Amino acid sequence: MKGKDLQGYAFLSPFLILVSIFYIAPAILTIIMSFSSLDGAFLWEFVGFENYGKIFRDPNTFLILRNTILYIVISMAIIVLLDLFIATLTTYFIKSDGWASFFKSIIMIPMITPSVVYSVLWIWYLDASDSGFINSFIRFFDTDFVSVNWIAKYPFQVIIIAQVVVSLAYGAIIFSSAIRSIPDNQFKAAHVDGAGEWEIVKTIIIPNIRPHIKFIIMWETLGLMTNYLNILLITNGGPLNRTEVWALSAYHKAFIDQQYGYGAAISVLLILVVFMIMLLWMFASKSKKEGEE
Amino acid sequence: MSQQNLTHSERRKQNIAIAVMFIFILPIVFMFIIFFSMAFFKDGRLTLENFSFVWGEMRLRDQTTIKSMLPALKNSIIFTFGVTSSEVVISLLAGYALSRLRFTGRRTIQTSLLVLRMFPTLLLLIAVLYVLIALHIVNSLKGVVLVALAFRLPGSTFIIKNFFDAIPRDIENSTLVDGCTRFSGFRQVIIYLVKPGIVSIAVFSFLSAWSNFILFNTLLFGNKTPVVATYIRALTRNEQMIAPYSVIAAMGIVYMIPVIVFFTISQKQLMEGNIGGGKGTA
Repeated sequence: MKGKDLQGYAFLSPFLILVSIFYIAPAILTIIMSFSSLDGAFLWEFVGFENYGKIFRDPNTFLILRNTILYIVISMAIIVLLDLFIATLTTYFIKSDGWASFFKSIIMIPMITPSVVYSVLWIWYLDASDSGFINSFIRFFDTDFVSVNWIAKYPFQVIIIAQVVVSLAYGAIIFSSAIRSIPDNQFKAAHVDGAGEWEIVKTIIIPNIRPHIKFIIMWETLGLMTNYLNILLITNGGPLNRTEVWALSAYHKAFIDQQYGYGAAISVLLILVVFMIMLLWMFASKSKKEGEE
Repeated sequence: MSQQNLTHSERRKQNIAIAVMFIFILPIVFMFIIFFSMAFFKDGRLTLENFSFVWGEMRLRDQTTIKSMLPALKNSIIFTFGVTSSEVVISLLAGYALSRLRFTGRRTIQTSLLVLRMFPTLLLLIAVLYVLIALHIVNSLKGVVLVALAFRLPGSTFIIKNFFDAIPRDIENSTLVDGCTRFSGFRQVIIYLVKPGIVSIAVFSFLSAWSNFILFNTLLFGNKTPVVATYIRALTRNEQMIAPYSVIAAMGIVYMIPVIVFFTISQKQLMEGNIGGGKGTA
């Protein structure tokens, strides 16, 4: 028994060492930090729940919470609907593999584009000056058109669209391989019964890939909740906090204002929410025994 | 799905679907093509001048100079190579142990893998910075490599463990009978059986390491160690573009060449739906 343990841990040691020092330790440290007033001077001074109290007193908290919820709900709804749309078209309606993989690779391009470049693409697309693509495009048809600063005018819509375009590929590919694994005779039977295409989508495709839909909803919710990268790069939370979301505000408090303790407290609250979603997911997939991935 | 003998109505529906998809992807395609084609034009003529930042300093019209991209490219290559190769080796070892060896604590580690793989690592950066300071490896490429590895290992170990789980135990037992030790059997036989798993880990590790931005942005400061991501970012602040779009497009092309190459080679892997960690999971 002892020898077996030794062998197992010999294989695991690089993994365990790295993950404990640079992943688990920071996770614990984040919780400890959230009770301290740690700042740029790096002096530990414990202040109890002061940081948490500060979150509730902060006048911006309500706005940030509202932004976060709207951002998650709207983006997720659009992502899941478009994913279903793309997957059904490219897998069920387009039977040619060549075309299907052509469209899927196009959709993957935004996903593989490094975010630093991807964000510039949007900034250029919507640039307020005449070099902006949309502005010059409209001017091409309407010479009197006065350039609009799209990002300043519609920041929230912009970050949602930018995020949706990046996120499309993942769900579309998962859905598409799920649709592919539906037995062909189900479709044949439906055709024999004279079912219309819309009915086939509603009664065969969607029920068959329901576990995958749930998985994507969970996955995208977690992603949208915690990944602030595109917002940081496109609007940086502005203008006037209009696109500031919860995770990004933790980043701003910690790395811009150097209020590490306060930033950690904001992170801890979000981590708690993430944990609740993960627990819910695990219970749901365990009880149904249909958890995918 | 069958693709032979489409009926007339199936063919018609397929054509409609292809048309709809074309309309759908058109804005994205336009956006990318027009943006990147700007790289090859200056004052309305076709030129490669916009790429001169690769080899040396570049002087812009308003007299600002852009430093050469070479040091940043070098750092990015070192970082990506370090992360990808170590990630493959370490996750192979760990995935094998978790799939095949029996030892105390195996269950606990397996369960924690599930949690760690979905945990929002971006929220831990504040504490990670503190750990790096305590270990005296803050503001160095080495430190960022270790952090990137630690963040990605649970996900890739989970993927490779599933590949190991799929190998019949008999194959492995026969290597043991043939006189291999656990380790030599692992090295000589088992690794070849999980090759697709290794490829998919390597692909995702490469893509994420090469395009990583947030780790460098938060853990490296003072411009001491530029990487391509921070190099480009420094010229494209939200408020104001420092370089003209044509130069940035050229930089984007240089940055994306390895991505496109990898993408083309590994497209099949990506398509199969075993996407490891989505974009931006640091």
